Amino acid sequence: MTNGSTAGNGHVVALLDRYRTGELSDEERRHVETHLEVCGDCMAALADLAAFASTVEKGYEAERALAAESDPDWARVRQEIVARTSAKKARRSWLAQHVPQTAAAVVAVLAVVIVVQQGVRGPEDVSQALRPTESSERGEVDGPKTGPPVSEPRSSELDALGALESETETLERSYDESELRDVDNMRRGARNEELDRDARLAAPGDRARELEEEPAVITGGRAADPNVVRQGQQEGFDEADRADDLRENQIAADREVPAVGEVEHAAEPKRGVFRDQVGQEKPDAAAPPLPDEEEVSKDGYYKQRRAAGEDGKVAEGEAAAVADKLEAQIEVDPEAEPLSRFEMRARYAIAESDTLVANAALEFWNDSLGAGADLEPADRERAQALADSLASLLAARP
Amino acid sequence: MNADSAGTTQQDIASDERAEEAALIERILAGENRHYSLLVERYQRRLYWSCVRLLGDTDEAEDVVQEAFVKAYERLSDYDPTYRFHTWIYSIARNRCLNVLRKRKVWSLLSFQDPEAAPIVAARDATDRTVENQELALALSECRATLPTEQRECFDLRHGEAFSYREIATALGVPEGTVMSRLGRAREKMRICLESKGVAWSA
Repeated sequence: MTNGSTAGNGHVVALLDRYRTGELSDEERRHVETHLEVCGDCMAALADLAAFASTVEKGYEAERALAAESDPDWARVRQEIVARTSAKKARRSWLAQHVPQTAAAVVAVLAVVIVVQQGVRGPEDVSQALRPTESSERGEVDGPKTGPPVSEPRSSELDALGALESETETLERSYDESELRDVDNMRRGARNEELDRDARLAAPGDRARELEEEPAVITGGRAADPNVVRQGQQEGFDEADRADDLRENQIAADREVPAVGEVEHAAEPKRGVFRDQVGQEKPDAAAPPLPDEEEVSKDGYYKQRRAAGEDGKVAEGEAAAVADKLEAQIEVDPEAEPLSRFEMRARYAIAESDTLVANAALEFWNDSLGAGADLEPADRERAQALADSLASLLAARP
Repeated sequence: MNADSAGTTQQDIASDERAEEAALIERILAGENRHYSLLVERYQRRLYWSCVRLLGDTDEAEDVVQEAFVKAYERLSDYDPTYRFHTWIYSIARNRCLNVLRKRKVWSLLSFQDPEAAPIVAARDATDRTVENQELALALSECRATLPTEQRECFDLRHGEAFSYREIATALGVPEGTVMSRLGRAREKMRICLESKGVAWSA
């Protein structure tokens, strides 16, 4: 190996890999080149590294070629992705189609009102009276703040989602996998933050709910309050984003990506709507809640368990019994409300001191309930108490 | 590391690729979203195999790839064109892989399996492939499996996906110095392991 003889040239040897691929600055490159002229060992090390890399790359190519037999049908995968993304566009087109119709209907109603108020003076007068109204109506419809007339998320959700999302994004950029620890602390921390936010924004949330219940008013008359609320939130997000950027590495060191995954789950279904509401243009700005994240994870669980069983590596007795118990107890009614499903899992976990189920329940809480869910205060309090008990159960029995 | 002054071919290619992708993404954001399938086509297979390496499961990897592309589409306006799209989509998919691994840990309590066991490329019959390539691929796969996860990931990205140090650092959210030391350690182990399996490379 060349390593021994280049021991004194470590500073140059460390640069050789990037020298090889042209990633060095001019200064570094010159430094390496000057050194290579006088250091035969370093030159040999470079040649050796290049040969090693080329062999390994050939190995990767061979691996891919061998694996090609078990490749998925890429055209199908692509079609599915395109279908899922263009479905959003189709919905946006649907809105674009129907919102003007709504506007036209409003115009028609106004026409009748005007006609009734002013008496029938003839078609020309009516159309003149309508002109400004029509244009302002269309302006409103096309304006960026209008958004979809339905499924507007509550402000508390917006805030929680925004903060979580920026955190998720930061972590998505910066997570270091070597730190797979303290999951529960992170979960509790994230949950408490969510709940704090939720409590702070309860009032605007109610306002948004009221507006949601009056779709007729939304089109024309909701401009004032909710947008002020949203702008305020937007500023909050921007600040949070900037702070997150600054803290990026710190967060990566302190936090846990696995927990982010949960956060991601909680945030995701409403992301399209959320993005639209805070005024950031997104390809799916008008898309309704999205998919099946939970199903995917559940499938993962089941598949994992099935795989474990088929491999025969599971001790048939105890582990299988726990799995069955888990199945029987917590998946009794997958159609039930998330809250009752959570409570079922949580009560079972606490009664049995079962950390496995406790984990699953807490995860379910984070994924499906938590701050984003629309719960009655009493329900929330009860569920939160259960979640806290689960957390202490897990803390007591790691 | 001064990133703007590097000037050799590989960097130029990377830079052209970025510019082309940035233009493509601009068009998608402007509403021509049919172009998104071009991006998908370009990266789906590489991303898929990166995920298979992380997860050791082809079905889960396929799910993750789909989710990652959908998610990337939703957040396309967040894409920073100073990086290659590959780096970005990788970091999104990677996060999902970690998510899957974390959930798997719960079940590993039942199965007593190592939830992060490294994927192994199974040997296949040698009918239409050269034995040499098969052996190389198998040796590579077995040796990679001996590396700690974080070293293996750096090694895969560097030598399997031709990521620059800076791109690896970005995708993993670690300093370049960390990438350098992980790669250094990974390479030393891989040299020893591959040699022990009879893989030869000569300068």
